[in-house]
Amino acid sequence: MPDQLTDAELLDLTVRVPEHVVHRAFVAETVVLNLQTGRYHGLNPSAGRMLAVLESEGRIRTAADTIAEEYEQPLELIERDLAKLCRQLLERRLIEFTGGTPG
Amino acid sequence: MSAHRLFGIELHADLDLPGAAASGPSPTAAQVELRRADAAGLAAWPDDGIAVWKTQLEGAGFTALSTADRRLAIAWGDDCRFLFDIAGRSLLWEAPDPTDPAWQRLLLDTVAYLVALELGREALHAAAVVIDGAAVAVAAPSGGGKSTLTAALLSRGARLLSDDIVVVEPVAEGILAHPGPPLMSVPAADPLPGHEVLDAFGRELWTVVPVVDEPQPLRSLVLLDRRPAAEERSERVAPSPLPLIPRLLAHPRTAERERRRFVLAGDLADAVPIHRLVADSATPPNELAERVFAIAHAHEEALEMDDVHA
Repeated sequence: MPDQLTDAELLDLTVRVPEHVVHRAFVAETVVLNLQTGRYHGLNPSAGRMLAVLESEGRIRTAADTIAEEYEQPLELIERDLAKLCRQLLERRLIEFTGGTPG
Repeated sequence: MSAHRLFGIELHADLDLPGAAASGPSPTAAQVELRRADAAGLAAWPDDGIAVWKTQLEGAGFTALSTADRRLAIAWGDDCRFLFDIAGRSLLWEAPDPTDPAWQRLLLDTVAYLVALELGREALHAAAVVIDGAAVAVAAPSGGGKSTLTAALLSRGARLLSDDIVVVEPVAEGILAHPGPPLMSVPAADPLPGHEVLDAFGRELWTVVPVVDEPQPLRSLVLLDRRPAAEERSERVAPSPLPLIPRLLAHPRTAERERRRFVLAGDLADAVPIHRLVADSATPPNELAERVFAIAHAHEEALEMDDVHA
């Protein structure tokens, strides 16, 4: 369960956007639709970019490296923000671990 | 037999229906045959399915059932029925008096767009007019002032594209808006001079109004928000599907169609400028019509500038 994992453990996992989730980036926000719940979610541009990189990279730690380089920010800061975002997305089933939930 | 083009379909009817028939065959509209149910058709009428819509229309119960064998069975009151076979594209009807304007309005205003949705079309709950060669859609909830505003736009020279439901289609160049039936429900207090009134329904006059009979590029979308004591303003809305999703008709309610509507709302937000027009409930429709014309012309000028610099 994500809330039982430390940030370091979480960062070593791989995630994907499930089939039942669609998303699209706009200038002011990224809009995410969970087709299973019918709920829409709005992400600010930074969180939207994180989702896009997570989707392309899979491994959360690799995504953090990419984003830190892109935003020219300390890796530790990005890892903390990305771990927090991942927990929120996992809670809403907007991303999932590949190969099922660990633990 | 007459052909009527509406909501992106072409209805080939075995009876005369109000409004002008289509001027020629459409290369893109799905062809649907409308014919009276014979004994065999009546015998095969389904009585079981998933209710996709239940409401009251003109004082009579209206029910639409989706069947397991991909048919849509519609019942209105005690003795009016429609059965749409999605695969066969045939729409059977049964009614005691097919010249009854209430039945004809049900067919052309409601059943026809349900058929279009079943055939894969997507639609906005909006009115649309054509101003200087491009469509402007005005979306508002029922009772939100669409009809009075549309009537005011027509009196200022706009041409009707659709009264209440606008089928929209993404194409390479943007978004196309398809014409509805050449008919309009006009507020009885504000009739359209020079147009034939077919019947009165409550506080509405069902009126013949010619439509632009080809799909038009959608140039702008106005979200009309009228409420008491509102301060009048018109503002451009940041591109997002979120204000558009509630304006798209949510039928059929399947995951595949929800996904498609999400994509369409995104395409709309990317391709079509969206404005929110807020006004007091008492603002005269002519003033709102001026605002809509200004919005339409602003985007026309922007397009011309783009052309110059292209």
